[in-house]
Amino acid sequence: MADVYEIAASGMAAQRVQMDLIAENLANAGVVRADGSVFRPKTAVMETAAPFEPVLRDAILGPDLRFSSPNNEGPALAFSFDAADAAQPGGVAIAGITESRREPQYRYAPDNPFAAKTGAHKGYVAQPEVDPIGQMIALVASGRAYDADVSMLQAAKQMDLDAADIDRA
Amino acid sequence: MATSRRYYAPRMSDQGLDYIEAGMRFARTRAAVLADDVANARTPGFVPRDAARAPGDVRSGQPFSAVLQEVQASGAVGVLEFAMTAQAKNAVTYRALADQEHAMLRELRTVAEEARR
Repeated sequence: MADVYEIAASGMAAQRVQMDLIAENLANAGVVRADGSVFRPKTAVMETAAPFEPVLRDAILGPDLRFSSPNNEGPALAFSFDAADAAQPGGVAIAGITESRREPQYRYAPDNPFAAKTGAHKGYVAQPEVDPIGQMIALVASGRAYDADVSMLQAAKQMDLDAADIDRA
Repeated sequence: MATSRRYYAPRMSDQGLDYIEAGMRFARTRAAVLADDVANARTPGFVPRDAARAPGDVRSGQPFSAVLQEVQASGAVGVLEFAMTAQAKNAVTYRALADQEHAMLRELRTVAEEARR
């Protein structure tokens, strides 16, 4: 059976990674490093783990092969339930983690021991360019997406319970 | 003159159970497609899908099959709204089918118990 649980779990894991990165970004918002390097805000890039159609096409190799569409036109995306049962759509995956390319902010702080001693930024300290409002909005969006995945999980669980109740008198 | 008469009982619920089972399997398949939509709601360039019923082959015991269709939904919120709404309806349909199958099986059980008496 195409596993709703695994799909929802992949979504939850991806949103957790995103939320972890947001927390890291916010925690490092005002950080000045002694070596002069600057923390760069990170973002998770998500991708579809396994597109549904190829997975189904691979699964539709058995005797239950049946291609059809309601109007008998267009690509053959129809599948029998047996093939759908064998298919395992992969949900979502983290394709990579990108770092912001924005220039750091320079704040004049001549008394700071980490302030630049020479150069164009003499007396300034470099701070990461973290947009707290944008990060908080992204955090809320990730939280909502996480909640939606949990809801799908609960719905699948309820469906299984309903199926289990069929045989009970 | 004695005559014998053979009684043929009509099929009771075979076809009905086939339909219900197919409906429940379709609902499970659709739940997986919708879960995929939710998981990928924030994936750049992702196009949400939904499963729709398609003609099947009744003789082989599959009254209908399923077709994947693209859904027009704008942004992550639009995808989530669509998928959550569709899943709510899907879950109700599944529950109704499960209740129906439960009722039909209870009917069969009653018949079997009557025959035993």
